[in-house]
Amino acid sequence: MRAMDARDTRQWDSVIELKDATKRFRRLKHGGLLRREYEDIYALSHVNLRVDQGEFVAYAGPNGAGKSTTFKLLCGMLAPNEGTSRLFGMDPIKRRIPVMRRTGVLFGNRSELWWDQPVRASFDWKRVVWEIPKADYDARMEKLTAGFRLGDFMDAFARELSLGQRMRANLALTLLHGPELVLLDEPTLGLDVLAKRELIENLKRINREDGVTLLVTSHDMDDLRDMARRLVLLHEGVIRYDGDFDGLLRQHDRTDFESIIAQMYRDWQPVSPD
Amino acid sequence: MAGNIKRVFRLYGLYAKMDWLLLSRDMRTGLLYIFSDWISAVASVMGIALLAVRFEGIGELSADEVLWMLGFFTMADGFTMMMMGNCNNLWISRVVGRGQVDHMLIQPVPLWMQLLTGGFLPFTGSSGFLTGVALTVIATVRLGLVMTPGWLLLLLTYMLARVAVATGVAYLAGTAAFYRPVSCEELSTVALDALNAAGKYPLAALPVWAQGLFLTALPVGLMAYLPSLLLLGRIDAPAAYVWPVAAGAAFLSLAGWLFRKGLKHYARYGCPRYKAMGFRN
Amino acid sequence: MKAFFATARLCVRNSSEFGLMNTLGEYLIKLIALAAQWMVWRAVLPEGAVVDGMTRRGMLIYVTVSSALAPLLDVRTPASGWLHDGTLLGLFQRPRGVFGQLAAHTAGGWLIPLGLYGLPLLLLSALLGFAPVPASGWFFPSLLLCVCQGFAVDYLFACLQMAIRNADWAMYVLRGALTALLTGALIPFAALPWGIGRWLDLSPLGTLAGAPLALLAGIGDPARLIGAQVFWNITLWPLALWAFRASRERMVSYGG
Repeated sequence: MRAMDARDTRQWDSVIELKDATKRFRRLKHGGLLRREYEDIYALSHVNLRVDQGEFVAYAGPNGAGKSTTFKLLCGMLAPNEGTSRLFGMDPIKRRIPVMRRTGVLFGNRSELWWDQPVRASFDWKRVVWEIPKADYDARMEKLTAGFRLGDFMDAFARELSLGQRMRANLALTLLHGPELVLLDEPTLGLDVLAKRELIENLKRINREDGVTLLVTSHDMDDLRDMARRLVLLHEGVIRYDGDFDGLLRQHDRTDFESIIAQMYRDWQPVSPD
Repeated sequence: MAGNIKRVFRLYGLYAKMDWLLLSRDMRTGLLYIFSDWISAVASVMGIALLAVRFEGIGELSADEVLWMLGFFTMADGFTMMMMGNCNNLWISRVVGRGQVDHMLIQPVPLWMQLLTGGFLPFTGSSGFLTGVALTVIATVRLGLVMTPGWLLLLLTYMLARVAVATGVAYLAGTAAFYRPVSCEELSTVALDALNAAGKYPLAALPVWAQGLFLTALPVGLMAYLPSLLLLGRIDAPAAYVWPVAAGAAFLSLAGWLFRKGLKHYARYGCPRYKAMGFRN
Repeated sequence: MKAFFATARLCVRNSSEFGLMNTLGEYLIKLIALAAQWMVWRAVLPEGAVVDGMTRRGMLIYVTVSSALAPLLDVRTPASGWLHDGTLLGLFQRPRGVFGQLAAHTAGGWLIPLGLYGLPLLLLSALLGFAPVPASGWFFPSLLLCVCQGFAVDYLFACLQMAIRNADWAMYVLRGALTALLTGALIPFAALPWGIGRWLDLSPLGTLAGAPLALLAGIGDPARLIGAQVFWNITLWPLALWAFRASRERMVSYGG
């Protein structure tokens, strides 16, 4: 770790810290050739979230709840309109490079693999770009190849992989630099039951064995309950629940998450940004 | 500084290796790309070359001088493609408009370094450059030009200046995609195509005001015409020799400044769409 | 015909929804390229001079009409573009012939470029002093034969692309390069040196743009050129139909 990064981290003892984070977007309401009318949409509204080292957090919510926006704030792709976003105590926009050395990010519908290259080439590429020492690279490759069963298709072109294989390769690539924090947006999207199970086991393992902090989004509450210990429920840019999974069931006196969430979405009124 | 330079060369090495892998693993496709680029490079200038032969020159330029200018055009355009052609690094409005900047932001590498090195295609992207070199050498021999080290250095400088102008124009246009991602997705392509469509013609038949416009704000004449006149010794004014380099620096600086502003806008408003098309393929 | 026009109408709307900047930008490029060609013809052909039947006015009309009617002179159906992403598959799921649907999509795509670029350009050329009046009435049947033959050539290119997988872009570049030079759209065959134009103007590509434009500018023999167009239509259409049928399996199993 570089000296500057260490100094920054000491000021904060959390891995992720969102304080009063608000993100607004402008959306076209009526479009015409000459006159266009826009409206403000609150993707996140005064969100406070703190995640400590070694936690495995499920970040759930319906489409458009603000999950991906949160991830983009954390990665320094977006800046909050109000409030602050910190990773390892650093502003991810101003300190993007040191933050990204310690973070792994994967959006479920996006691939980081080089499409027209063998899978192995993407790993070699990452070694150079992330400046991973050769010894670390070799050790991690051995572990990842075994853990994600990459050996079957390491020399195949990325474009030839099945969805499950592509997700496994993408996840292994995300972990190649030994990130302390991993942000996964819908990693189980489109996977069959077997592939999904395998992925969940892998995530649990890296959290348990390597102490990696994980923040994972999914629409499938059963999947999330299977892997995470803490649930953060987001709806219309506001955190509606933050606690353990059983706590949510107890709070509503139910045995299944679907009915609670469906009820919640029905009952909750649109939130005023203030 | 030294660390950055070392890293830039390391990244160039990496992308060269990946390009070689692409060629060696799928030789048929790789060779087809090289062949099609070669045909395209030849065909794009062949029409004007044939006209120049048929009418014994165009305007004040002889047929061989037109051939030399077309050689320079092809060589410099090929060099631009070789250095910036991969991953839409040159057609940056596509990257911005498709929401693919996110992929760059998760890399622990300065953005300028990614943009400088990520487009390098020394094997599959060099056919245009090599065709241009061949055309230039043929025309140089036919014209009996003396190639001194100073002249070659000037040739290299003008080629780099041409890369700077084209890249600057593409990025100037591409910045608009930060603000209007859908309608401006192809704006860099539009700008580059416009430069290349007119950039291979001699401008002598134009009135002076139009020539002035095409050598400054719409730098069509910097693609090949002015550098060729200077390298062929057809212009005496010493100040003109500096112009291609100054224009390259100006376009690149302006584009860099506006692009940074666009990035700030991106951080504030994001990109409302994502398309994987063209990303790393 | 109702189905044909419904598809074509949707394509007109579709082609206008990609954004004004893109559309106008594309026309700007065409105009810049055309202005450069005007410049060259003004430089090589003095006013009043006649070189092998070519006059400055005739050549200005030739390149202007070539630019204005480009979609008709170089027919591009969406077939090649739809191969790689599997869109072509969708045409088989509709209760209509695949050829007819591709033709409807193509014809729908013509309206905007012809209306917003072609027509204004022809009017502009009249204002600039070279109104595009055909030197021969044979221009019109020749143009019709050119469009018809253009469809056959496009289907053959699509079939070639199906045969060479994973090289869509290379094929696109290659075709662009070949058609620019060998169809006579850019430079009249009469203006090529060493008499090579005499060989090219009867070729399957040369009878596309080259034939109607030569008749328009008054530098071609109608019987010779139209005869060649009829010959190539009769030859290429059965070939295209056969190739399309033979490529069907590849077509539906590719992309997506």
